[in-house]
Amino acid sequence: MTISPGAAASPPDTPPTPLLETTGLTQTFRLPTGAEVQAVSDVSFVLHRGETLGLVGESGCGKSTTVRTILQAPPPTAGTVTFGGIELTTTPPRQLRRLRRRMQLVFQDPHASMNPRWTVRDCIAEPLQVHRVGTSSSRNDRVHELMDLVGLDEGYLTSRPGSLSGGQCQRVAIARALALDPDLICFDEAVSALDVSIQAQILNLIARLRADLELTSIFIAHDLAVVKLVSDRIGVMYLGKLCEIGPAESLYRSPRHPYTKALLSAIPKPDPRHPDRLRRVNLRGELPSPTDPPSGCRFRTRCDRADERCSLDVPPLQTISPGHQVACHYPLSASAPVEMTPLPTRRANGVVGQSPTR
Amino acid sequence: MHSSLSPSSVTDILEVDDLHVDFELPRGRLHAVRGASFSLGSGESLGIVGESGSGKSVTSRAIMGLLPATTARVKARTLRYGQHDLLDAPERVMRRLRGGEIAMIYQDPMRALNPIMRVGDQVAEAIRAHEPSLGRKELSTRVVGLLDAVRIPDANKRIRLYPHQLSGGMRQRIVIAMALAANPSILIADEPTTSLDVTVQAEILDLLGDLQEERGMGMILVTHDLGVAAWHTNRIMVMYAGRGVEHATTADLFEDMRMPYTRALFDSIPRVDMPPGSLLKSVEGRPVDPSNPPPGCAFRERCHLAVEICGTTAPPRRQVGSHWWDCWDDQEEKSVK
Repeated sequence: MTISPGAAASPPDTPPTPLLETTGLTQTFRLPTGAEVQAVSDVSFVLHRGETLGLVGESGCGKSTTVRTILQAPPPTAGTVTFGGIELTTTPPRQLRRLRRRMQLVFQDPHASMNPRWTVRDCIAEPLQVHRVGTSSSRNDRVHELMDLVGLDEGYLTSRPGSLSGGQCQRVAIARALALDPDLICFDEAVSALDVSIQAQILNLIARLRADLELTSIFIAHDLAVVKLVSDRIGVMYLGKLCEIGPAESLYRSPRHPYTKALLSAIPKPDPRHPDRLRRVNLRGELPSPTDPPSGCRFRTRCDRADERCSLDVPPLQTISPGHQVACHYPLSASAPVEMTPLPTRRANGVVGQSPTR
Repeated sequence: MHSSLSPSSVTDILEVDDLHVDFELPRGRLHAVRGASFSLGSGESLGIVGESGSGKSVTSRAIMGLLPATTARVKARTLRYGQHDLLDAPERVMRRLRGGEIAMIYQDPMRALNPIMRVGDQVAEAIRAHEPSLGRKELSTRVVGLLDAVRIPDANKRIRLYPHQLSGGMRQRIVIAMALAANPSILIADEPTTSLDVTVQAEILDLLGDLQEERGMGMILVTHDLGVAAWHTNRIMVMYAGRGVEHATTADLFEDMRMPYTRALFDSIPRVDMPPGSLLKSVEGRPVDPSNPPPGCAFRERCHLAVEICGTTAPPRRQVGSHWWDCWDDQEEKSVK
């Protein structure tokens, strides 16, 4: 394999260099009605080389918009994005285009992101052609190498995307994203449309690529178990705000933001005997309109800890333990992890079921 | 055999025995369902779990008589609801059963709703379809009652709204309210939460489970997600390539998965208790092409236990109590391997 990792991991004793840093990232869209939506509001985080940041939250919380704003498509309305030491928001378009080869995106629906008339070979070679990398024969070699890397049989070289299954097509999309040896790959719901058994194959592929190529990535998915599996750190978003960000393991074990806790407790456990089925935290009410978010903390209308202070002051993102930040005036304590309750039996005939609400 | 599938205390209101559904398509015949058998007792909840192409949705549509008559060929030894033979029932009877006795909800609530009609009117229409003589006042009381039953807050105000003014979860509640309009004895929910966010999914699943219990309805929950099926079902049937391959009470199934595909499906699901960076036990390959199912066991090419006979002869059905599975593998020998 001749593919060199995007960047070597830093020695353990020096602080790792951030590949990406956003400060106060804000994206405001104007609706035809004249109303404004702050789809992303004051989002700040750091992404180190070789690290994967998972972004979770319900639909409409701004996960995808955050990623697109980082890639300057479109550029943010406020805030900064530093990528490999370069400030992207002030970079001229021509230079930005060159930088874009170092950032790639993989989307949810691979069939929709591929030209149906092209062969697999054309699809994977396209980024190399666009950026005029190598000669025709070296590009061809690279396509073979990439197909091998993502586990695609060479017999598919001349197939068209339409004749591939969802899983195979997603492998093509990943091969295409890897073609230019990017520093950053963003996976936007890249496994969400796949069947469970195919999803597992692609997740394992991503895990292997992460290890082999030391990829730096942002991984978006609405399935919290999927995100945990592939991420080093996880950011939780609600209505455009980052409410909590921290190491995957500790954030899931003891969430500090009430919203994170509610989100985690809603995950269906694929085993009724699961010993730590969480007591469900029901959220009050409904998601407020993004055009008219609540004052202060945006989550306060659905939070049972909220008081007057939450409606007045926007809670800043504060570090509560190394690498773990939370935006809440009354964060949950770390010593009291998510309550575990014994599984109630609800069926009279002895079949185990769960009655989380009562 | 089917009476033994469910506890003897409940009577089977739905019986499906050896259901086959073929589609005649321009490119050839597609075998979507190749022998599915199960029964449903009143007040019981059955999960049908499988990946795309397993035939789970086609099975539920066959029960409802909703498959296109021009292309679908439905055959079965038995396809019975109560006293009605669903294969032979005239369209007039089917129309009464559909929605009246057996109701169905789908994945995408937006497609089940009329975008230019107030949701209250749509629920009213569903009630009136089965009770045309109902007076205006009574009708609106019933509509509000149904919206209360599906836990829509401020039902009196919400009936005036159009579907696009509601969130995905609220829309699905409206669809559930419409399904409940005629007090059906069976509710078939086909991927009812797949398009919803995880917090809303949990609420809708709880709602369905509670409604099913309160009303003593039978429920068939069709899903690709074993985790969703585990939530509120008594029994689960796993389908693969058009066939039921394993069936057990929900507790038994998770206790002791016998068919290798069930185990593979379970192992493929990422679980929140897995540490970051762990690999899933995935099965290679992909589901078989339904237009050309192989002889023998359809799962054999992806199965780590497969032996020669799996490729030639359909596996035998093994049964312990209500738990059955189709596999050539002898469980006694498995421990030796």
